[in-house]
Amino acid sequence: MIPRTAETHFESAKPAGPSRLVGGVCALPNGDPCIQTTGETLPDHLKRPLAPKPPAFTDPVSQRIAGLLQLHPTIAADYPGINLKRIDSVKRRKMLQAIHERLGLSPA
Amino acid sequence: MTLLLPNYPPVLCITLTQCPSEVKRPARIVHLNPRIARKLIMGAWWRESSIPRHLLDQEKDQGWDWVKLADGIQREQDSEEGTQKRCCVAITAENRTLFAQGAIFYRLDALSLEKPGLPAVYVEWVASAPRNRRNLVGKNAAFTGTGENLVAIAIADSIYNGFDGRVLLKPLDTAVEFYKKMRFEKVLDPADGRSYYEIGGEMAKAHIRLRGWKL
Repeated sequence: MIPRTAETHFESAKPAGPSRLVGGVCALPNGDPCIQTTGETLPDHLKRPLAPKPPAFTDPVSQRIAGLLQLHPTIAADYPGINLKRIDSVKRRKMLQAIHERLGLSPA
Repeated sequence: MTLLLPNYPPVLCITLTQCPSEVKRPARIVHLNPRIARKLIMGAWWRESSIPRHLLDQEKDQGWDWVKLADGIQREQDSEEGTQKRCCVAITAENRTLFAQGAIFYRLDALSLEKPGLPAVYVEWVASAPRNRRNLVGKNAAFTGTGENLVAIAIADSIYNGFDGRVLLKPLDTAVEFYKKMRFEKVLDPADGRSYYEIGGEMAKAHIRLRGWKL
């Protein structure tokens, strides 16, 4: 039996006929089904603490590093007191690459 | 029109299917600011003359105040703490008029229930425009695929931020089937036994690959 991967699942969900699939879910051309959430706010016990807001940067590499460090305090803890403005662009890029690798993201 | 902030996912355009012709049309994804929310959502969605009033009144999200939400995010963004809330809207242009086809509000500071302790995106509000809802307009819908694409944007943001595509949400009972088709799985919150739906990992990434989005 062929293992059912994400792709094969969505492929098999295709109905007969061309262009009747938008992304993964079978989407017949007669409007959207109900998609609404309940609108409930996230309960406190499902919120996770974040690092403080980083200073504003103008270059995209620093913006990306600062954004990721705020979202991942455990990674930020490995760079205590780092000042991105004092690091040259080559080292900044390497730092971003290292963070991307830790998060399993494609190379920066 | 306000473009997405630098840390938003690099998804600026989605493809919607026009009904009933099945022609593919592009929709621009923009950050929802109060002005857009006021003009294109609050001032338009619930004033569709083609949809009977009593049907519109039955929609659970009619009371959602997108202006207040967008305003709140803007204030938090400017504050010292910053914000990890994101709000996007899909906009199409027809005869020089802009239409909001759907909108989503999610936050990046949630915890996964499927993989406890790991970060996830939580979708608080998502809705397609009433003019696209099958239950309101039947076969006269303007577009289809809006909701699914908006949820895919939350998945994209989850991947882009290193959360492995984990997205958590709490759908209305009538929307559960839609999320099951998207391969969301039911998860229980051990703290209070409430049920949520979550996607992540390969299933989440498949949604991005199928759309050809590069992250």
